[in-house]
Amino acid sequence: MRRSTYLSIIGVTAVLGGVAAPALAADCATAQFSEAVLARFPNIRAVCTDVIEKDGQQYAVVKGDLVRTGNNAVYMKFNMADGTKSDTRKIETRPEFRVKVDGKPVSVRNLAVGQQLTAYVKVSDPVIALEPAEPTESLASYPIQDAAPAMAASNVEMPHTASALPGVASLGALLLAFAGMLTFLRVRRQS
Amino acid sequence: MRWSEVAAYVGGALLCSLFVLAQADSALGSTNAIEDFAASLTPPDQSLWAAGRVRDYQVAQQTKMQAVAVLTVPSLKLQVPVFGSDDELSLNRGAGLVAGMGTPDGGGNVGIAGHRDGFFRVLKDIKVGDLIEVRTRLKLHRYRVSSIDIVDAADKRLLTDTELPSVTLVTCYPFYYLGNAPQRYIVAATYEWPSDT
Repeated sequence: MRRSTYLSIIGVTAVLGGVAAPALAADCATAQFSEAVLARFPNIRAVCTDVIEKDGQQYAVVKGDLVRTGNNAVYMKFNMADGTKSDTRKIETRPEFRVKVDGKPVSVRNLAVGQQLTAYVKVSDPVIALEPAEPTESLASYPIQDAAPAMAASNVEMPHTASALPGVASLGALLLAFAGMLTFLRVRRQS
Repeated sequence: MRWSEVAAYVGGALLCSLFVLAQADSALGSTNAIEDFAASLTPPDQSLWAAGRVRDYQVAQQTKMQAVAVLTVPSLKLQVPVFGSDDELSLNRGAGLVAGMGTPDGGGNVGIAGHRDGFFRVLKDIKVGDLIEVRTRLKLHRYRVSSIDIVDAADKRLLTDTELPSVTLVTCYPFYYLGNAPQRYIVAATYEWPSDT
């Protein structure tokens, strides 16, 4: 085979590879998020760090800080591409579901605020799932909820931080001083 | 010696003894709670224990008055156990979580109360920007003091929940006052994110 034939084969292969590549793998900029996903999560491209394929579906990878834990849910703020944080997002889950924190499996009930978690947003449907501890585990996806900070109702009472002990000690000292004065008066009267 | 004299001596001695006992309980209870908490971070190897012994150990751990966290303010050299309640016994041995507010691991505005004539008296010297650390069994949380306020005892605005994790230390004010102090000294601190440091 002549050198020109070799070059032709290499060229055709390169062109075909270049055409086929975008169809096989997408990135955050090119992922075809559905209208429903964009409606529920308008800043998904800004928080997306990667696009992966799992169980034949594309998922956008989002990372962020855990800001609150709740009953069967966690609340996260995702890292934006510009270094800021997203609005707070609630992600439903189960207390016994295990996620990966610093490379170690941790059940949701043992999570603490300040930890960094990873979640997956399905490109074609408005659902989100926490990254499971083991890559082989299937995702537990739940509908993406509207951004909303979790705030508890305020029915708090101001704590009683006044101790009775200084009063007790003062009264005791006064009684002892009074007793001493009585003794002094009695002794003086007798002498 | 007349009966009034004896009664005054006995009453005074009893009250002073009560104060001394409470102070001793405060010092010992606080030290023991911090030691127990530190021990609980590295539970003993129970692999060779009998099943009954493991059960007994777990029951003993649950029934003991255990701290849920340890609060540290390095600039004030303050280290105090934090109990799950702000009742009188808890506050005598350390600080307590304010009921109805957040928790260190769960997020929200975490209220921690302490006596102004005890562990929290040193708060009079705290400054904006000082570091506050709350160590739970799950994580070390760091907060930075953002404001210091003196409010009326009925003013609960600073105890309301926050979207981001925060801690609010509460004690009575003035620090030197006999009886129920009319005001509260509130130290608010915001969370320091590990990803930002």
